[in-house]
Amino acid sequence: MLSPSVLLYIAFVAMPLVAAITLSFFKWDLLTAPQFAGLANFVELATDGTTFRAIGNTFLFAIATVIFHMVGGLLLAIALNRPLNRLLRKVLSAAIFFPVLMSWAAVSLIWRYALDPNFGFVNYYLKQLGLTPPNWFADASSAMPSLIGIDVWHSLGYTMVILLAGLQSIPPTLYEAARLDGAGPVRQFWSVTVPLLSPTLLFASIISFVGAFQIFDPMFIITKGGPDNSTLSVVQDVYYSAFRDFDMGYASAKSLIIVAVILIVTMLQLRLSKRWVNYDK
Amino acid sequence: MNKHKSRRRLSLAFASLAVSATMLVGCSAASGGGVESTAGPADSKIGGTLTFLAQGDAATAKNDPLAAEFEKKYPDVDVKIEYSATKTWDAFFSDLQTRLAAGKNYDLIYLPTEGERLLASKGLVQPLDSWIARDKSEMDAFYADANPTIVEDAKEKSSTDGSTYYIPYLFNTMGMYVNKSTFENAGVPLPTAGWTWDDFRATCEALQKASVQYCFDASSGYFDGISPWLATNGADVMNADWDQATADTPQAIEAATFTRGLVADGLTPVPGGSYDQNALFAQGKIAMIGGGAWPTTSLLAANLKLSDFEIVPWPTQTQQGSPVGWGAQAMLKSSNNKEAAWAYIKFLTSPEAQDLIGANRLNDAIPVLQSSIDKAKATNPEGYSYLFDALDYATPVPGPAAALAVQQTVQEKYLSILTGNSSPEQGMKDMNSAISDEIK
Repeated sequence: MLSPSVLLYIAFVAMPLVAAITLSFFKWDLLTAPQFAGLANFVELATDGTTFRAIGNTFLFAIATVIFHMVGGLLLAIALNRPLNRLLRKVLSAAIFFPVLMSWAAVSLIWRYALDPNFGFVNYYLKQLGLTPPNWFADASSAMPSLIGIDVWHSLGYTMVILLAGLQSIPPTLYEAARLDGAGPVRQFWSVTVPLLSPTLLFASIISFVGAFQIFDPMFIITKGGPDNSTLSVVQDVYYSAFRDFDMGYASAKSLIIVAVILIVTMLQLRLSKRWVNYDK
Repeated sequence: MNKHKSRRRLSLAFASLAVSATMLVGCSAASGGGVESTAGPADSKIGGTLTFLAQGDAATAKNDPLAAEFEKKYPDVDVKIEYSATKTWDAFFSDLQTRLAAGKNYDLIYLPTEGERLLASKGLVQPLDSWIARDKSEMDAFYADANPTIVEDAKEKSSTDGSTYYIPYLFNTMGMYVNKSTFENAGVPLPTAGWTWDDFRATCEALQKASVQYCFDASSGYFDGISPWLATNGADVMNADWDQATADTPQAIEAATFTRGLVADGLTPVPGGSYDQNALFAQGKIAMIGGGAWPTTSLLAANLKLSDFEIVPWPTQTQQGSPVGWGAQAMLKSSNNKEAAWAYIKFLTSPEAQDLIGANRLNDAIPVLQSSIDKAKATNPEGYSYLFDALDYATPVPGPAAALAVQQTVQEKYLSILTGNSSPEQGMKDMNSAISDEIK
């Protein structure tokens, strides 16, 4: 007998994965019968500049957001972990976490309006300060940084909550002992906080990276991957192959590349973590 | 133990592959199904269930006047409409193809120009010629009143073998919506039919001088953005056969240069973000916007009255021009109720359905019968008939197999031109090259 969880796993993970592997050897437009294509999809993929561009963009986005999430999330978590009025702490935590509860579609539309070059309030105030703001989403140089900024605004609260939970699990006696040994705040941070928080940091970094590598909504809604593919993400590239060009086989081949990349990077993170993650308490 | 585990894994792998193979067989069964038929006898019984797919939301689903009217006329037919809650045609096509691949069957599917040739070329759509021949007298009445250009275009452009797959029953062209009070307050004369790009530019400069924030909204869109400017200069992004890119002609570059000039000189908002075009038009912050039938409903919702605005033809450079996109119902070969499907297609071409479309701006579109246009004038803004007159010179919006990719490419490259990231010449050359890649 298979347990319900195994059945769900087979239905929603194993079967789609096997189907994607199988489809990657076919040409299929959804409307007519699939045609076996051998390795043609993979050969095409090897010379597809757009997909390589999308992979590069997604790495840039993922690395930048992981850095901002880890650094920003940790700073906010430390700030909220200090002795604070209980109500104030709850209000601040809720305020920082609130954007996480909003759908990406709503967030994307809000920022498209907020950063509109003509009527958006951001450019209005920047102009009042005598600055010349860019056309955030239409200039290749500012489009990706804008999307990274929006992602940080939207998702930082999630990383912050994970890290705050990690900080709160560190026994206060260790800080007390460190203080008695003469350790200042900086020394306490590096000698107590970071080692004991390292498993949580590793978890948060993997979750952030995997989430960032699967980014789709803001690119699709705000920039459509432009200008000049400068914000095209790999998942968006797969979506266009599948549901704009109706080439399901090629889209499946691209999906497998994403799986492989995420697998390799996660394995790399886990391997490197042996050097800096401390599981002793 | 290890051997046992390996065997189990191998069995699982084979089982998974078997499942995939079954899925693919299922895919082939679901795709491209249906048999071509011909019309039954003239007195064929019309009844049963008629299912069709259209773009719309739950609110539309509750109230479809055309379906309700059809059921009144054919009480034995139960119309079941499934709405695809999508906002754009590319999203609709994605939804449609996914539904068909999943094995869903419909008697009819509403299609815009962009998807008609694709579906017909895949062998999914039933040719209608035998039904048209059978019900000749009724169809002759339609052809006598309908605009002949759109009927002919729909037959030629959306077919790959000369058969008639679609009968257009509504359409949109592009006209210029003008806020009369904005012009009056600025002391600038209202534009009139026959105005030119130079007149348009002069009007914009006069409005700017009178402190109107923006004279026009230069959309970076495809149908409502670049297309009318290209059409009024004798250009288009593709040739008439939709098999070659023509976006880098001198006329096309001239059109792009003109619109980039409007943005660069602050006469229109810079594209790149989002704002409520209709609200700004109603507030007098934007004096003119482009559109077909669809802005009227939104402008009335923004508290304007029909008398507050009017429509004039697009300003011309070398010729009158407009894009045109039409809508038609595709009868699927796999339909289980082709006689009822044909009855519905025929009903949509009838004066009663056409009058409903015109008077209520159903589907935010315009009916194809001249007589319905005349009746719809009372519930539409002044100049409404210009949108119908434009059919005489309008260019069908390209609908090659890669229509969605072409549209996206055009929008992206045009945005780059309007925002000054590419020069008009380079931008249109890039557009041409990208379209050529997409239609290979």
